[in-house]
Amino acid sequence: MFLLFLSLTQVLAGKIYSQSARISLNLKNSTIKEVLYQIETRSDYYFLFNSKLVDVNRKIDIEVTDEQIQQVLERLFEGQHVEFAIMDRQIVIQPAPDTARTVQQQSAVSGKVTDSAGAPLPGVTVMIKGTTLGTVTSADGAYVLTKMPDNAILVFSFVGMKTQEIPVALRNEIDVTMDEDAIGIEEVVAIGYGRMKKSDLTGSVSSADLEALKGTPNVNLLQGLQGTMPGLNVGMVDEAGENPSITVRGRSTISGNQSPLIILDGIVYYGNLSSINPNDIESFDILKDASSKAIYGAQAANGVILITTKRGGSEETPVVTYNASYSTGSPYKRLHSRDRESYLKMVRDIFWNEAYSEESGYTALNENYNIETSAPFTDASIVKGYNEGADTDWWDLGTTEATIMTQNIGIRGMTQRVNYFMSFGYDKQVNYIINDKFNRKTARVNLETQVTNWLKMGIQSFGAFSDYSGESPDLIKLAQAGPLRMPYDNDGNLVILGGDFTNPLIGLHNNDLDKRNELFGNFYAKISNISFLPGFSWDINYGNTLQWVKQFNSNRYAQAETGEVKKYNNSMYSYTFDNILSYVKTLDKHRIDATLVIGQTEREYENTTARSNDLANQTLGYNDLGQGKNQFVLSDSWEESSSYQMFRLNYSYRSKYLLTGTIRRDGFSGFAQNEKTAYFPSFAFGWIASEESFLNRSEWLDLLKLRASYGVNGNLVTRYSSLATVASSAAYVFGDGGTSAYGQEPSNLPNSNLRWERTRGVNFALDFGVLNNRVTGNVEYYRTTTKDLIWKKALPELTGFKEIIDNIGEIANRGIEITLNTTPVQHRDFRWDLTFAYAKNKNRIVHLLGDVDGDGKEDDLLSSNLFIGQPISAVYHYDVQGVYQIGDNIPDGFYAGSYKIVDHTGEGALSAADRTLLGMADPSYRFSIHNSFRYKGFSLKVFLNSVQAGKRGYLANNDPFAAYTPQFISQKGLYEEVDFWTPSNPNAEFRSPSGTSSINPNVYQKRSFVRLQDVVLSYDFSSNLLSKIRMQALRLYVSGKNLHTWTKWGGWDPETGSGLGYDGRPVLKYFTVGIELTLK
Amino acid sequence: MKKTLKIYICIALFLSSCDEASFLEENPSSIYTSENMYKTMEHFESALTQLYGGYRKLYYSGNDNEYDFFWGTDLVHAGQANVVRFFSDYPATLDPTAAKVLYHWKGNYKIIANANTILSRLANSELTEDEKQVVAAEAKFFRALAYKYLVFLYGGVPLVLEEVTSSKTDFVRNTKDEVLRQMVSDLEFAAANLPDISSVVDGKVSNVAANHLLAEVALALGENDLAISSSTSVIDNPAMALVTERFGSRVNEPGDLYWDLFQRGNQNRSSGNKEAIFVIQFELDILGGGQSSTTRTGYFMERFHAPNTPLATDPWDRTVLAGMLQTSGTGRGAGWLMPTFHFSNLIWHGTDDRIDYNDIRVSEYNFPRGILYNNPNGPAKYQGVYFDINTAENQYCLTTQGIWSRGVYPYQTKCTTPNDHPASLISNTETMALRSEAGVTYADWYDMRLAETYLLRAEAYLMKGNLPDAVTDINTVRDRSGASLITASDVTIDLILDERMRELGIEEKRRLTLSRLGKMYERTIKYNRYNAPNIREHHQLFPIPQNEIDANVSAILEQNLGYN
Repeated sequence: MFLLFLSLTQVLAGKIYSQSARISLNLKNSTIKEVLYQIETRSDYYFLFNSKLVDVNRKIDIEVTDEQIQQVLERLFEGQHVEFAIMDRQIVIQPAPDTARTVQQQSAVSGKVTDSAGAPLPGVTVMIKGTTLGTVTSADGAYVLTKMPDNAILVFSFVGMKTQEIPVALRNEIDVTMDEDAIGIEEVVAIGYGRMKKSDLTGSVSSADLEALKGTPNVNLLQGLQGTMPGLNVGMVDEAGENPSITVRGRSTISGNQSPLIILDGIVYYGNLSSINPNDIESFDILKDASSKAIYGAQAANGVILITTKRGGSEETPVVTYNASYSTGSPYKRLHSRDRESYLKMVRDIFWNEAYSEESGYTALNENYNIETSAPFTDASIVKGYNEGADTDWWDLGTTEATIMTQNIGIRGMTQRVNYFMSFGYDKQVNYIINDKFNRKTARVNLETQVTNWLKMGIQSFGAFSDYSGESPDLIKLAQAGPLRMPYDNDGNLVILGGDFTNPLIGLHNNDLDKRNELFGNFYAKISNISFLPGFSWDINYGNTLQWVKQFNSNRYAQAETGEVKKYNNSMYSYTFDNILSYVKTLDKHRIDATLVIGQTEREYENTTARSNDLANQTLGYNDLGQGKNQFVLSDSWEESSSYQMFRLNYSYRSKYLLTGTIRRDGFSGFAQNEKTAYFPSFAFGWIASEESFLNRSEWLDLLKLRASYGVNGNLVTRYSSLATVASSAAYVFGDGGTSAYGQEPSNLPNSNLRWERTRGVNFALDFGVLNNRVTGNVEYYRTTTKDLIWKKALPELTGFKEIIDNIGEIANRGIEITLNTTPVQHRDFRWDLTFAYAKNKNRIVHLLGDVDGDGKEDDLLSSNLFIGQPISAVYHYDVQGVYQIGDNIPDGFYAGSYKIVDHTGEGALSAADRTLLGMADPSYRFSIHNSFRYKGFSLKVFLNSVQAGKRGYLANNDPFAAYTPQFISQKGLYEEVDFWTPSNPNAEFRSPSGTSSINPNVYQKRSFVRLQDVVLSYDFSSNLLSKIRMQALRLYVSGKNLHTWTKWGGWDPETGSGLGYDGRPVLKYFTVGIELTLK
Repeated sequence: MKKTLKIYICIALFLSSCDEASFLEENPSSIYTSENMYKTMEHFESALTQLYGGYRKLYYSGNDNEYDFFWGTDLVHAGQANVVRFFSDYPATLDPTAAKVLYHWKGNYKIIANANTILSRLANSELTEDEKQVVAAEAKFFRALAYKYLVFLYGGVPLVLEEVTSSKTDFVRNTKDEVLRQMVSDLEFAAANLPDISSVVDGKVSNVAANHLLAEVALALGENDLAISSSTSVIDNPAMALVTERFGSRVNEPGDLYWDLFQRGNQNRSSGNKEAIFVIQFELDILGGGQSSTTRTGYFMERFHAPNTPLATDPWDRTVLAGMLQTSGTGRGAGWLMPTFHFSNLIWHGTDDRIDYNDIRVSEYNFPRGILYNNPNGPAKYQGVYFDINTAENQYCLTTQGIWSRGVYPYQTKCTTPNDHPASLISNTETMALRSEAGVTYADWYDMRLAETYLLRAEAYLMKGNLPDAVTDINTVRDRSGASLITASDVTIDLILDERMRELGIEEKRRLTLSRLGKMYERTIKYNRYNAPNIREHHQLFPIPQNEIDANVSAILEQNLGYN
């Protein structure tokens, strides 16, 4: 710490002198101290002053000839609040009396910030008003600020607390008690092309509570947000380094892009979210309603996610943070492969009509049955294992204990004109399946410099280097290998197995490289504080992303063991160039905030695949593709561009009537020739009713705010989709020993009028805070309709095409989102916070092609599974009611053990016409409960997340057999958990796999679940203790993730929809220990 | 960068007119668009090549559905019980929603669409009038070929004769007669404008191919004179002749001339084979060649038709002979297309109810009915011994239902290339055991062969009541193979169908022929013990795919009888 408490008082002795003495001086670029010294040397005056109170280091030019000391001093201190008393030859210089208190340069202010219960509040931002200087309170609520300027006013702000402005007024110690405010109401949120106080919002913007995510092992930020923000639906992840799926509110497209638009530091981000180090993220906001999204126009319909990374610090003292955690994981639920005994029983059960005797009603073993004549025994490796007594547990061979290690170090601070934030992160994840690995190095540098008082320039940049190398055993094959196949021969060498089944462990012996790299740099400049244009600013952003991927593999077992090697390289470059002009003006009770954006983006992509097989020499693997007898090369590329302009006007009156209007114009290269550009307008209104005089006297009501908005958003079409394309490839070779002849054929139908999808929506919302803000919350209701759906309209294949991309129909979404925050208990040492979030979305198809068949009502589109009045995810399928038993009257094409399908047409025969609406794949509603308990340094967070099916929702197919033949199934085995029909197990859950009936319906099951997603116990050490070891904060924690899931879904996991089939993957449960420390 | 700079300046100056149109123009960098891909002869050559490639991909690329023409007929049945994929159960297989049902429909309509695109785009091309005629003739040949599959599988189908360039959902079915007449018209044009077979590149279609197909279509229409004239033009073409002597790549190995017809390298005319009319081309390990020596790629007739020898019962101890190797001699069969007893035995009987081995088509080279014992765990005295399953002591190879075991049954060696597999597929050069990647027929494949033209003409003569000429044509085919000659009193349509079986066997798309003659149901009931219990009369035709009915929203595509 560089506290300078010393104040030097210079007292220069001298002799009595005449006031009328005259002085001549000619000094350039000299400090006042030097000038005073010169005067002293040339005269008898001497000066008395306090250098802490009077700025004597200021440099000046002075030229005086024969002037009185009074005049010289006036000139010397011109414009300074300084007075001087000339007493004989002694001159005392001191601050002028009217400003005496504020002119004083204070050394430092320190203090402690507590909440209304007296508990210390860490993380409170303390800023010197009007500057970028400030600090953040430590774990015990303490802060220290140095180098206070004149008239300093400190601004204390903290999420959920009322911001306070306190003049320092010469004090050296200021303790502050923060009062609770409606949660987040003073929070500043990103709204796209700018930021806004949450209280001024008119649209629907949610901010993630990133603090609450700490202590859970998430290598990807989104994973941590799962279930925490109503309206944001994050999918479960079951592979290392995988990006979870994300959607915002309901689905407003049938076949168009469903992913939200991601804006990273103001730039449209096309990169991979798993490249972003979660520790670098300062804020995460989602624009949910049509009006706030409208500023992103044609790309906004699926929601907009704004991610802002940490900026440089505001103190000269660098703040260093270090976080590390270690987790171990295993499936929270395991399915079991059959052992030898169980497998052989399964084979008999599949071929029950041979393996069991007819006389016994197929319940007793048939004495004459020889299992060796059954289908599995056509596979030599199964026969071998059978004879040699094999009982292999392939899952054991292909899986391991999962671990996650994360480490991150960050440093932020500022020097005179430059502030900086730098971080380095290293994460290493080893998943349950061997070689399902991920490690990532990220490095970030965010720098900003104040070039002049009207110009700031900076860069936000990061590099992310992810390594997914290593080939996992094919999980499906692991599930299909069965206990009789043996992976290694007696000498311990890997066997290929052969037949139609390759050893799944081969992957472990392959050389595999998979590196995905990304560089991001946003270079920006901000022009503001222009003296002749007050309130005006101009931001220029030039964001660049470069991603490149290398995927190389050598497999010596492939291609009939002649070996195969390949290299796949791709790269994508994109840039965004934005000009953002804004103007803020406050006039009495009116405030205007206008923003104009003009920008453009371009993206370019290319890839090359080189592959060769039948290798003469495999020593160098994929590094010598030239060894292959057969060599193949493929390449691909694309490019796209867009340009856009946007204007937004925010107006507020008395800070309680709020109005926002925006208009955006978008042009995108992927639009069809006749429809290149589009306009997207919106407006919104907000009213803070609690500020009205008739409400603001209420004792219990702290906040009541009403919002309403309307807007139009678009959804882009995929590039090139409107063009008539022709596919060309080597198609034939004429004659023996001929050469490749290339063929060409049209590959899709053109549509020169293809337009963007257009979503219109309204949003009504209520924000409230009552009982001294002990209970706060928010209710949002929205309705949207999307027209001109981009859709692959199924065509009769008579046309030679499966489909045409067209704009059709209309779908509607409506939903409600509720967030409720309460603090049931609030004492000095103990505090309990409870957050409840609920979201429900209902989706409905309003129109499709219209009434094509002329029967007076809109037609469904059976071939695309779309039904008027039903959700997009409607499940239209056969209605299964049990299984045919032996002796039942079984229709043609069905067998004992086949599913009994309800004959809805009543025709007696079963056909496609007997399908019916079973429900939908979308859930009915989602909710989550977040509990946070704090007792002294301890805090405990418990997070429950749930997705609920309701009456007919959240269906997924859990058919373990699909259309596989009995031969296939009997060779591949089934999980122990698959309960299938046999004559002695007539009430089984699933049909018999012993035959394939003419109709093999899927098995739809509900996926409702409640998950104990996160439990985090942490301890913050007291700052008294820490200060002794020069530490600012230290937290230790243990946590558990996915600790328990309550569900009726049979299979690996309801949320991923992983069922009992071969392709299921487990979801892992993790236990984590971690540390977070801050040095200063 | 220059563009960026320019736009930056524009933006900086708040000008909106910065040539946004060209900035937003779509420049597909790696895809071809149809605007400029149907102009030159090179383009049309390429589009025509796609017809060959598309046809091969549809019916000769190893897809299960390619074998739908065989199983469930009088020729073969599925070798494996209870597996619908293998046509074991008609009602379960021929459901309107079955992928199989859509496969043939969409595959053929894709060929038709590609042919139509060529025909429609010719007008605005840079081709000369003569070139246009030749290109159109080739396209029309393939259009007719695709309609042949459609009309015999599904009956009267919608006739699509123009390129479809925008959404169209109002198709209605044409009558079978209309479709056949369109095919006749296309084929007459093709026959008149395609080059003579003596001047086309190996693998390309010619006037002869068009006439051969025309004869078949004419028969379906009852236009017997047209069938006779078109088949006669094939038979009388000086470039055409039945093979009557041994020839080709393996002429010095034990075998016979019928065996030679199917050896590697012996199908194209350049090998001296004047019998071939339309040959599906395969070439190993070259792009577009359709075959690979390291993966199972190509026509899977070996895999489908050859027996699954590891499943054979050991003649020594009657246990399952799992150790028996699949060798380069027998091919790597899975035993899925198993001959009916009619095909493997009855049709070959001479007057004494015994197989007439004078007919080389049933010789040990061409239709073996046994296995060479090579079980290393078996007794030494059996090693290398040939077990003929027709002998009394080996009758156990027939199941009680009179169906062969999948492990050993008579099969046509034309499905494989005996002892002539690509070297990389031999896993053990001592035993000549094959790798699991084998299973492909590593030879070119006849789609049309002159022997069939004779039988088509014989059929036309029979229909006209001209028995002597019918007998002559049939005997021409029989005589070449050493079979006994027949007389006029023998000639019936069933005899011709049997003769086709003998001559063509698994070469013939049997289901199409039976459908053309309305004999599908009758002969399956009679000769296919396996499918007899489950085939119904309406199964003569496939159902119209449900997808097509559903997607054709503006008009109704009638479903075939029996499927509603």
